[in-house]
Amino acid sequence: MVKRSNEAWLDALQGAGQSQQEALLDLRDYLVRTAFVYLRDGRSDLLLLSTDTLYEMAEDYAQNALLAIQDNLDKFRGDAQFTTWAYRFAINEAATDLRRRQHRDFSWEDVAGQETAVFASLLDPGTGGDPDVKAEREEFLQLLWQILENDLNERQRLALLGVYFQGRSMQEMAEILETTPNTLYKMLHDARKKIKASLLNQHYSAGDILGLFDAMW
Amino acid sequence: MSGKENLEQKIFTRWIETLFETQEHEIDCKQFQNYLPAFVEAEVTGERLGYTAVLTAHLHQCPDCEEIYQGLLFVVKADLAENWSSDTAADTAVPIGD
Ligand SMILES: [Zn+2]
Repeated sequence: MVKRSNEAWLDALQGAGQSQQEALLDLRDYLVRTAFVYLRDGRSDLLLLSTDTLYEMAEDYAQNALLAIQDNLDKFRGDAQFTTWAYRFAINEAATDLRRRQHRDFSWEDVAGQETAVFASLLDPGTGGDPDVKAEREEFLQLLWQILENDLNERQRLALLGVYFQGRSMQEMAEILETTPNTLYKMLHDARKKIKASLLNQHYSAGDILGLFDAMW
Repeated sequence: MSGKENLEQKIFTRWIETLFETQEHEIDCKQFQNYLPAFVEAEVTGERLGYTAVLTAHLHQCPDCEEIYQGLLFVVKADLAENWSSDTAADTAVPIGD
């Protein structure tokens, strides 16, 4: 395989004829290798899959990545090796597909109950211990609950619940909320800002809050 | 202490921490992904970019971008270790695709 500079990659891929074909073949090899190594050694959740299966998956991801790269060549900024930039597409393809396979059932009917249950279990002030501390915990939890109820809209509460408390991916939660991960990020950012501001407003720091619950666990 | 309580503690602690790490201005996922290749290369070479803090802030808040970051870091290190994208790559690298 020929070693290429960033400029040589771009020239060849944006060009035509044999040099373009050679560059595409070389790039595809790199991408298959990248995806395969990622699947085989870079993830702990695929250990049960055979090498053949992983290799077939890697070929699919590489093929999709190759198409995406060709569509996005004009967006390469030249601030990294071309291959590093290209590998990102392969990792993205793989991670996106693997996340999709992990999506869990979701129904709107369950959500209200689930929301209450998750927060309730997290927000249980606990039994026993110093009554003063317990009262402080209760006070904080009431405030937190109030903030979640009053400052956030339903979609923000749902996003928060899914991503931070249920461990769903941004991608999965975005699909549930029928939006994009990018928009979801902004929605959550807005929610975090509101909660943080309200807590700071009531003179709570992260240390105060974690200290309050330290003895409980 | 049960496993459930441990998990709840972990979730709650992590949530409070990331909540208070929230910045007034944060980059979104698209912006993060644009800077990611250079960020990963800087991580490998130990260089510190001017915008490292902004990227790290996004990483802490976004599980999906964190996953892509870890994956890219892993393969870039593998590439360096096995010399794929150099002209000596062919014989030394992972034996696949024969
Ligand atoms: Zn992100």
